[in-house]
Amino acid sequence: MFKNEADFEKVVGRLKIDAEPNPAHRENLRRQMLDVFKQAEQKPSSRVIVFRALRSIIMKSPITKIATAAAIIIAVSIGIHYLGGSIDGSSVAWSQVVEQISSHTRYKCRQRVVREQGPQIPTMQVYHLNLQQRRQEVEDGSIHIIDMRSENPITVELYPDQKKAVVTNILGFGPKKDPDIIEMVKRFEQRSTERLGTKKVNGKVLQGFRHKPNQYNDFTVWVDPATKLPVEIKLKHPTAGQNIFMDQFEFDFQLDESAFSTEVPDGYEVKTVVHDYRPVEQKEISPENIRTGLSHTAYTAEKLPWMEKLIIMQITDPLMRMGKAYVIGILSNDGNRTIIVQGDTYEQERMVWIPKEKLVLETPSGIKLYTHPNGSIYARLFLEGFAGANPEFFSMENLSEERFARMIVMPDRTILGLAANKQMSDEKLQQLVESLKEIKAN
Amino acid sequence: MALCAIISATMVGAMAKLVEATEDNELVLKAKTQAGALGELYEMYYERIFRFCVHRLFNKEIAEDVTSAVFLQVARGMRDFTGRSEQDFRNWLYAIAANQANAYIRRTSRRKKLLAEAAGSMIPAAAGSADTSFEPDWPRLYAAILRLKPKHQTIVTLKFFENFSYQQIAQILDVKEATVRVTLHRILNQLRNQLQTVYDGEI
Repeated sequence: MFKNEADFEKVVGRLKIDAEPNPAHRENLRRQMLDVFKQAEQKPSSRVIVFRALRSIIMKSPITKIATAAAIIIAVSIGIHYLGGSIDGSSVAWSQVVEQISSHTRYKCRQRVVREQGPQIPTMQVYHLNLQQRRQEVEDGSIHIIDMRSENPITVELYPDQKKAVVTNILGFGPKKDPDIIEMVKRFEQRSTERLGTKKVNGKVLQGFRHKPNQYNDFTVWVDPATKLPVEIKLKHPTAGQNIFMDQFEFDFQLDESAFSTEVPDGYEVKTVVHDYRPVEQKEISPENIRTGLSHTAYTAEKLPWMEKLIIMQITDPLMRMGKAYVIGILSNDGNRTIIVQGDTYEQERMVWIPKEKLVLETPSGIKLYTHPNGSIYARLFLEGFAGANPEFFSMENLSEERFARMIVMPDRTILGLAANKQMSDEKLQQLVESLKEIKAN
Repeated sequence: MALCAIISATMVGAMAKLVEATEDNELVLKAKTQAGALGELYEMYYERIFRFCVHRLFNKEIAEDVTSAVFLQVARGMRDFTGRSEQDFRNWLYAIAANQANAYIRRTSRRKKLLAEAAGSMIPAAAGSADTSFEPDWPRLYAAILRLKPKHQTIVTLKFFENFSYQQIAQILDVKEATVRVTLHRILNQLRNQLQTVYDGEI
């Protein structure tokens, strides 16, 4: 027996343990790992997934959708790594800019977003009271108040010319912080911020800084050397083909706090919208439950000869990890598991990217199936969500590398998600989507 | 003259190590975006991680599964990996491996099966050595190790099978070096007691 550490070392040293690796495993794993790495290139950051929830809520309204889009996109950069570098010279150092910005608690600015394609976003004045309260005055005259402080955040859209208001109560969403550009700029480290030289704007010499934390985000900040505060900020988002411009900054603006009130002024016709993000009871349901739970057309699938089992459940939304999604789970006679997902947010949200993706199948009745660059990841998330709600029906231990996801666009433009654990023939896919039937009220 | 040569050789050796370390650090940074660089890191670490998994899980097939899980997790997380040096990468990699191995044991109720296997299989201890007569063989030792807390099992594997220093273990487990020292002392006492029980015929 061993007496001490050295003795024990000797004991271990004398053991014969077969730890010779298998070259085939080594080679296969290498290939698999590099495939996953390449797929991960297009994976949305976890932060983006978090903010997808915010997006899905605010995207309900075309106006707030526009207002929020920029902020959502820049959320990508929150998880950035700071690379090395340094700033020399006698004029403003980046650290001084950070210090100066940090001494101010609120700011307003003009925000413009220029997109290479797709719908454009109107210019707006943004008033940041703090990281949870914001007022946006859009060029079309509408005003948005966003208050994310409470467990049940509220957004208010005011249309003064029509005396109409939309109040959205987001139940159980929890307090959230704004993915604010200035807050990100404050976090640039001096060593990773490149000096750009100077430029003249309206007779004033500005000093430029650049920070490119990753391939997705490229920040340029032009600073007034006198105040050491930003005058212009440009965030280039190459992968999205979009630039965000912020200028006309006013730090510590004076505006009565009532301007951030979520109370609708007298005389407005109010429409109240509720989004429920409270914990979901994951259970088996009927098609009727889906119909009553969705604000758009709801579908169910008919059992086909190759289906051994068909089950309908309400589960926690697998992508947002909060809120509700409805899933139809199908067990095929070849052991494959396919799920079709319907959620309240699919219709509008998916429309933005679907035209860019590849159409892989169109059925005679006009149902279209599209790929998604993150299909494998989404398939895993969908299947994981379903497995969490019904482990008997699907276990993650059986997750296949063949899994895939498709977005189904119905002829009425309703969008559903499809995820399958294993490959399916086009014939089966067509049969499946053709079996989707609108759920109508009895 | 000889002394000069030794000093010179030592300096050359140190310089070579420095260059090597710098290159490895660059490799880690490149591996965040370049598959080729990640492939090189994989080649550097595959065997070490596999061996660690064998020592933690006692079974080569299971070790292959867990090694796969480790490197796939690395592939998924590499772009978000915040470390900047080869040492950071190594610590991260072993932390993942330790967690994956512990999770495997926890989630699959493999523990009992592993214990059963440990009792009856694998390669016995080297025979013929005079001072091995009262020493545990690998299955028995493994069975005793498996009775420790998962984190303690990891410490034993890292220290005695992978020959990591206290400092390295502390970095991997994100604890103080002194904690590792004290814990290891307790672990050895516990192992000694365990093995005495084992010899009493419990397994």
